[in-house]
Amino acid sequence: MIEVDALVKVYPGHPPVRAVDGVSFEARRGEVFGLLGANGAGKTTTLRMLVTLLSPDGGTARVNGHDVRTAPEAVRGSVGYLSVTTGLYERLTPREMLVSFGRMQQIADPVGRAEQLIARFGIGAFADQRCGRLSTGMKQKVSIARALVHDPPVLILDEPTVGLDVLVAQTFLEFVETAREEGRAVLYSTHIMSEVERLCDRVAIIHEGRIVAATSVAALVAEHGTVEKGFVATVNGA
Amino acid sequence: MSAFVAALRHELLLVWRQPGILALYVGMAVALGPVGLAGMEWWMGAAESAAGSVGKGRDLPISALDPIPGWIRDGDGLVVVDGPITEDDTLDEGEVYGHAFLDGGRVVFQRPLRVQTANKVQERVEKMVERVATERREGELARVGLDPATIAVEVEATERNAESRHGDLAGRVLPGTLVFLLVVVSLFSAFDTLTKEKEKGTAETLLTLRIPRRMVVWAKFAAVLATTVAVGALWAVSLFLAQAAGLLVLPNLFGDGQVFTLRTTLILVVLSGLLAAQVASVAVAVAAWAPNYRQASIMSTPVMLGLLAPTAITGFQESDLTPLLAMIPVANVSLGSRLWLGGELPLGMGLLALGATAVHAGLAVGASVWWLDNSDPLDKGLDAEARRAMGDFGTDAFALFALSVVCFWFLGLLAQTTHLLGGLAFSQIVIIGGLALLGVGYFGAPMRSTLSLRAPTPRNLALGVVAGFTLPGVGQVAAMFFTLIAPFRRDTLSGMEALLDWPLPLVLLVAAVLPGVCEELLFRGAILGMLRTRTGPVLAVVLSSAMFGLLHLELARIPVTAVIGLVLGTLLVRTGSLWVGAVAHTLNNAVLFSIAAYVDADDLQNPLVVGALVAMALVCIGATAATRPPEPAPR
Repeated sequence: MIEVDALVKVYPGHPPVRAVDGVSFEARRGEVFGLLGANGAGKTTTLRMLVTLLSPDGGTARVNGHDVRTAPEAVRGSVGYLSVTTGLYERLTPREMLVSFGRMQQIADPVGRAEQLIARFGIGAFADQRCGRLSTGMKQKVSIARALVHDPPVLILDEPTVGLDVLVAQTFLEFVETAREEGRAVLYSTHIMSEVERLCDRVAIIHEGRIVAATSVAALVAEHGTVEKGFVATVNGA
Repeated sequence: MSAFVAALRHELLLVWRQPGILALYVGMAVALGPVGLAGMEWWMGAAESAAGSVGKGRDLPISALDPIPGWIRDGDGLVVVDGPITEDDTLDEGEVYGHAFLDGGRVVFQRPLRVQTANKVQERVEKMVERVATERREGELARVGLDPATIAVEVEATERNAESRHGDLAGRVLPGTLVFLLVVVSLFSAFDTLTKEKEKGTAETLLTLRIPRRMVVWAKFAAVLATTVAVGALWAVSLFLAQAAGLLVLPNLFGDGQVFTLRTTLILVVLSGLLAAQVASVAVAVAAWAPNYRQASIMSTPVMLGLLAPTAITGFQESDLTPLLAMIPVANVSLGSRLWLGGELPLGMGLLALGATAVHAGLAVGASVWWLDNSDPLDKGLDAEARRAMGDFGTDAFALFALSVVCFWFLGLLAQTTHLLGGLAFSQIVIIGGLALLGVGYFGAPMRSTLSLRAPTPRNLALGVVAGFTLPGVGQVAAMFFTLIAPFRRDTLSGMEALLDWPLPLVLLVAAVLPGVCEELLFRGAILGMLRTRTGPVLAVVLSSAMFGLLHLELARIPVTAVIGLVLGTLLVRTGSLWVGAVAHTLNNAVLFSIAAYVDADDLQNPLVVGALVAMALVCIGATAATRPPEPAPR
């Protein structure tokens, strides 16, 4: 579903920064693939290239069979993207937001789809309040519904639980598990090791723009005891 | 197409969801339209009654003109002409032009009067008729049907001329208010649709939709344009409605006629629509360029003034340049409105202005859309925040400069007009020095290292002293060269002389020490300090020197101050301390003002003075070269 091959992103400067330096991995249907790395390791830059917010300076990436360079709209049509910085419109209500985004995703029945998502994520009680007045947990539910409005086969989640309390984060992790069961490919970037242990099937550890290890979570735990120890050992050894 | 419609619906929904802002837009359109015009009408009425009443004339044919020229003598201050009177002739001493004629039992003197001169003219015509009555006895007056017992003299400002005179005034005010309204609305809605999205992160949400990116951006552009056009149209329509409802009666401004008819309102709507397209394109470009609200709001003041400035062009009298003025964006609309409201718009000129406006609007929209297509404006926020985090304050330096120019040239000059010495001190301390510190703090650049606040070594301090005595020579030689191209303005020199009416130590404090510290803080500290984080030292010195020159906005002084800026900038980069340049700058100003205290300001360009300064510069340079390590410069 997601095939990344030798992806490169260089930020201009004195000297230029190779934020992503030849990253390759593959995430399959029905699996949660973890992208692990410290802050500034290149996780967000990689994901932004995959959702076509940034254009790569080298290498290729295909999402659901579409090349990010040549078919960016088809790529975005296949991806639900959620990050700390994907905000909601504070002036709109969840219902308006879902309908409007459904229209812009060019789905057949935006109003019907919005109702369906409102029911599924329990948004009904606050569907007509302005997003600006909602609590963090409510906002997160709306954000998830927004990312799923076009029923994408691929989910790209960039540190989605940052700033959420434990209960909200739990609900979120359950949603990711459901997504896997529905057969979606989930690319999950985080630096929270417990989430990796719970959710991910396979992980790639990224450090200073390069993949320093790509393995299954089970193998990592078997070798180092915990994911955290495995991560620290891998990054220090790189 | 359906993608664009979906995106546009989304944008319009966002606009609709701000009832407070919509109310503000409507309120502004009404306040700057009917309410503003009513205020002006009231003011004009008050001015007229203060100046004495002037009879309302009718458009009379020039009849029975024959006897009157024979009555007029040299020294009456009256000249009767048959034919149109040019607008720009003024009432010179003892000279009045106009149409004098007999109308039944009255002598009527008709001309496009300034209100204030009406009484004077009345007096002169009365004297003339009186003289005829006494010198030639009743016969002559009786022959033309005047009764000498009741000499009736009436001075009229002709109706058409009064109307055009007042319409002309309204024509200068209305376009300005329209441009102001459009700029405010346009900038605000552009910030809301572009800059705020970047800052709130919703841009990222929007850009990861399947919809083509250019559709998203075009929809935003269309929303800003639609809002601006709608507010402009509301402005024109509210003028029409207010007049139709009898709330806006404008005899003082336009005579008794209905000015805002359906036809004229339609023309106003078309003009404001074209103007809105020009303004909205600029506003969208600013909002797209700015990575966040902070920069957008800083940039908006110079942009607003830049857009308002062309409307001032309509203050010029109509001249041979008018067809050229009609080619200037924004100005052509103002020019057209002024001529039209003054009732003086020739068809050719109207078509020219309209055509030029349409072309400008088309070009502005085209350029804006092209730029938006090719610059990924919504990604800019992410990029700029990353740059800032990496310690790059290059764009902030430009924003700070723009702000300081506006503050200096408006607040600073206003303060200096109020009180020369106090105003100068205010400009230096609050505007220049204060902005430097505030700017660096506001943009979050590290204060000490950006401003190079560290203490200089004794050797570097000595270098500053040497430079301080060298710079006057350098500056004066540069001035000799550049004043060949553009001489100093007289008022710059007389300002310098006026300053020297105060005791010299006080003058040196305000004109040498304060600029030495404050201007160095802004140009070498804040601006050069932030620029070099992006460009490296060499380009930063060059750019900051150019800005230093530009702040002095006078053609002759720009290159001279820029040359001095180059020296001071180099000093900062080489020594790493702001205080070296501050010492040099202070001494430079002190030397020049001390000389000016003893010779005329004009004589600063005297070869003897310049020669002495150059000699001093050479001695300083020579002494520096000869002594290693350098000693403080010999006096």
